[in-house]
This record gives sequence, C-alpha cells and structure tokens, in this order.
Amino acid sequence: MTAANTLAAPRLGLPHLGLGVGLRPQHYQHILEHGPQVDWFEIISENFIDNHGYGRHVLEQVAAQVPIVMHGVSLSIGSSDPLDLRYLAKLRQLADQVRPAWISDHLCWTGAASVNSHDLLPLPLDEASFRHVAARVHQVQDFLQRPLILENPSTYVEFASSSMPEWEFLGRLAEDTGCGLLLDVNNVHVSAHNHGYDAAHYIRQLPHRHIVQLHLAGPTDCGEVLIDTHDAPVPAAVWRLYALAQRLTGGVSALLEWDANIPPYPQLLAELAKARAAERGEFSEEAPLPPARGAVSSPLGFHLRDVHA
Amino acid sequence: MHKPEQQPLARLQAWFLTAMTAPGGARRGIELAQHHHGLSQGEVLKSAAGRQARLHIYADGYVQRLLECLQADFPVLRKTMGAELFDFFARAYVWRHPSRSPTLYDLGGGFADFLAASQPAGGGEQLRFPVELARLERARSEAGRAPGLEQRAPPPMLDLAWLTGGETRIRLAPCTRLLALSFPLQAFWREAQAAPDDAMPPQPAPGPGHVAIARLHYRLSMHSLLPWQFHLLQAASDDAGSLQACALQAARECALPVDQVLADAMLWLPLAAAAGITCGED
Repeated sequence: MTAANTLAAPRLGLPHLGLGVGLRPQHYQHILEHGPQVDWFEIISENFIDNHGYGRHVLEQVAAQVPIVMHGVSLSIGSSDPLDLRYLAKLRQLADQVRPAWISDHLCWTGAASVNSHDLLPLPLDEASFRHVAARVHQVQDFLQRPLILENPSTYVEFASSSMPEWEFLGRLAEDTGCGLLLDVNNVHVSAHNHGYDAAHYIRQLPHRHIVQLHLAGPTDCGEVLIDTHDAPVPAAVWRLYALAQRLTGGVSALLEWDANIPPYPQLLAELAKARAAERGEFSEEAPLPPARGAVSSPLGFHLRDVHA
Repeated sequence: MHKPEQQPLARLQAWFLTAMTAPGGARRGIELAQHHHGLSQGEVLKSAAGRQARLHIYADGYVQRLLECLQADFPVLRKTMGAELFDFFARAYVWRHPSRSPTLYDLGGGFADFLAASQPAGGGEQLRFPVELARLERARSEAGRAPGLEQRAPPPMLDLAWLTGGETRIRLAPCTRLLALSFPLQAFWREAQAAPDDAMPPQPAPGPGHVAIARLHYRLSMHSLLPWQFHLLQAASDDAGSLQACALQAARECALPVDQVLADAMLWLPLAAAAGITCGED
C-alpha cells in the first residue's frame, strides 16, 4: 500500500481487530486454562520491557492465539525533556519480538528534568506545544518505522496558555504527522464533564480516518469532577459516545480497560459483550457508580501483583 | 480579555511537577512552585469562577499511585511494620527519591537502603530486621523478572575437568539472587505471607543466614546456604569463575581448607544446578 493510500484508508490501513481487553496478571490463569475468548489483547508495554518472567511467558502463549497491541505509558511525547532514546530502543526491541498490530501511547507528558511522575499529565494546547509534539511524533515514527497511535488523556486542569481545543490539537497532529488516534471515549466523557464542553462535538470534529482504536472504561463520579479510575462498568454516557465513534469511523477496534478493582475474567467479558449491543444503540441507562472515596486517576499498580506459574 | 504571557514549556512543566510532587500536598506544592519558578497558579492554570483548582487530583494521585506500587512490592514488610509505619516511610522515600525510570518496577530498588539510612547509628540488630526483609522482597521481585533458565536446555552433569588439570566453571543463573542476612528470614517470610494481619508470626531471633533465591519454571524458591556455599556462589557471580578460584575464595572467607570446599562442592553443585541456582553455558 502506498503512503497516499495509507493516509486515505480508514484506520491508516491498520486492521479492525474487533473487541479486546487489557492483558492483566489477575487473569493469566483463566486465560491459559480457557483461552482468550476475545479478539485481541492490549498490553502495557512497560510491563514487558526487561521482563523475562512469567508474564512474558504468558504473553508469548497468548500472542500465538490472538493479535497484540502495545500500549505505553512512559513515552512522554509532550515532555520538555529530550526523548528517551534508551526507552525507545527497548520499545522497538519489544515490538520486534511481540510483533504488535500497532504501538500506542498518550498525548501527555509524564515527567521532566528526568523525574517520572508515572501519571499522564496534561499539556498546554498552544502553537508552541503543537510544534514541539509534532516534531517528536515524527522522530518517534522514524525510529519505530511505523505510525504512532496517540490517545487523548483524561484531564482535570487546563493551562492558561491553551489556545485551541484538544480535538483540534489532536486532529492537526494526526494530519500533520500521519499518526493515528486512539480515541478513549471515557476520557472524552471525563474531560468534557470536568471542563464543561460537549463530548459528542469533540468526537465529531476529529479526523475519523485517523482513528485506529477506541478505549472504553468506567470513571468515578466525585460530584463536581469525574476521575478516570478504570474501576467500574462503562456508564451509559460513555456507551453513547462509543456508538457515535463507531458510526463516524465506520468501525474500529475497541478495548475495555479495567485496571483497579479488577473483576473476574468472565465478568470482564460480560462487560465487553455489551459493546456489540451498544454499537446498535442498545445499552442500559443504569450503571452502578463506584464509591467516590480514594479515587486514583490512571491506576498503574495492578501490574506489580506477584503472579507466578 | 487578558492573554496570559507565553511561558516556555519547560518552565510550565517544572512548575507543574513541583506543585504535584511536593511533600504536603497540592496547597504546599503550589506555594513551592511559585517560590521556585516565579509563577502563580493563575499564571499557569485556567480557573473557573467558584471552582476549586484541581491540581490536588494530580498531587494525591501521584503519592497514592507510587505508594500502591511499593505496597505491592513489599507485602510482608508492610504487614510486619504495620500499614501506617510502612506508608510513612514509603511516602518519605517517594519524596526523597522520585522515580527516574520509565518503569515502576525500578521504584523499589533503593527502598531497603533508604530504610537503612533512616535509622540512627548504633540502632541495634532489631532495626536491621525490616531492612533485611526489604532486601529479601526486592530480591524476590528481581528474581521473578530477570532472564531465567526456562528457555535453556537442562543443565549438564557437573564436569570433572578440573580433576585432570582442565577447568570447571560455575555460572550463577541470571535470575538467582544471593543474600547474606543477620536473621533467618525464609521461614518467617513464608509464614508471614500467608498469615492474616492480626496473626503474624513472631520475629525470629537474630542469627546469620545465607539465602539463594532461584527460579525454575517461573516459580521462585528460597534456599538456605552454608557460608562456604554462599561465598562460592558469590565468587561465581562476581566473575563466572573457575571452580578452583571460587573454592579458594570461599575457603578464605570461611577459614576452611580449600580441598574440603572443593570436595563438598563436587557433591553439592549438582543439587544447586537442579534447583536452578546455577546453570550451564548459554
């Protein structure tokens, strides 16, 4: 496929994998015993870089059965620090071994001055940031020799210097660099609530042919603010955005994230199965809300659980 | 409408990071950030009328996220110290030693040293107990992720080349970790791991202990070592050495005749290989 055709094709010419979930240690045993029962898995790239233990063994078993997507949390594409080329080299090495359908990360920064906060932090959405991020996306794509797929983050604050909406920043970035978009409809829901904009309008404004994948998750309602906790069933408002995104894109891969209070695998699959009905506009308006106390955004501790054979 | 002055990205991010990672939470962090970077919250962040700034979500999440990682890395240490005391030290550690790695697996790498450095000089053996427990749990984490023997052929029988003037080499498995301790921790760790928080086993009396943490078929195991066994393996880990050189080192450390160490090693090394402590060539 030529470069021009790739850009004109839906999903940048990348495959529609169907419905998937995140590969998490809590489910290893069930998956090995009963099979994946999903179309594909997403892994957190950093969990498998330099990991030669049981998790890597499970990944090899699973990758022999279904496609894998590598989703990172430490690229820090928006940081003022130089790109971490050592990290990128390890990411590329992992990709050479895992052969993922694509590699994604977030439109965010995770640290500066060599400190990593391990959080997905918001960027000032202005022209200077745009030029900075676009140059780095080109650099990463050249290094990885593939399009980078970037996800919209959940945000709780906005920078005073921001001069454009996030959808415009992402859309221009996709068209300028040829990168793909991982549209997290829950993050759109969370950020739209927190900053008072229209979530459906955000999704309608994106360049839909650049959307490669969708994320689904359940946030925590803390009243005035929603927090992206990945610890609950998907609420009706997010299913509604999901149906809209699937319609506008013509159909793309979708993944359910559940990273805290992780339920048994069958329950996770039951939640994922709702996606098929949701694409037809069928979903329950009622979804139980998780307790709002102790909500932690971007939970990442799940991967440290000591799980062995 | 007033347009905010454009600030360099590095300055804005330094401000944000100071505000969200400072000890004492977002309120204190914003004061520190203003002091260090010369920018007020209003110059950096949008604020809506009547709405509290939400930087505390990032500040609270930062500490809580890293705290949960340390809790997962040191489960028995936390049960032993008690949640409140462990979390106190874990918070202090995160503030003193912020992560500089892309992976959270590296976060706990300096925790044992931090605990040791936080203790008063001459604190006595009892204060060494949590430090050594931290070293043990960190070593278990490392052994679980390091390259193992799972993809390799079974180890060969120990060759006896050295008996005929040739060279027999000892190689530590890349996932094996060795620890010299002042408490017998293995039994305590196993019991404590399975015990409810309110029925923890008693802390063992001080006593020298040498441990090898090994991995076979992705399962971790802990092995008590005699002092000469520990020093033999330690010599091999420093430099995959010849059996003779490692035995000489062990004999020196333990004040034993080298011939005795060599003879005992010939009997024990096949067992060490079967346990996954040592391995053959790549």
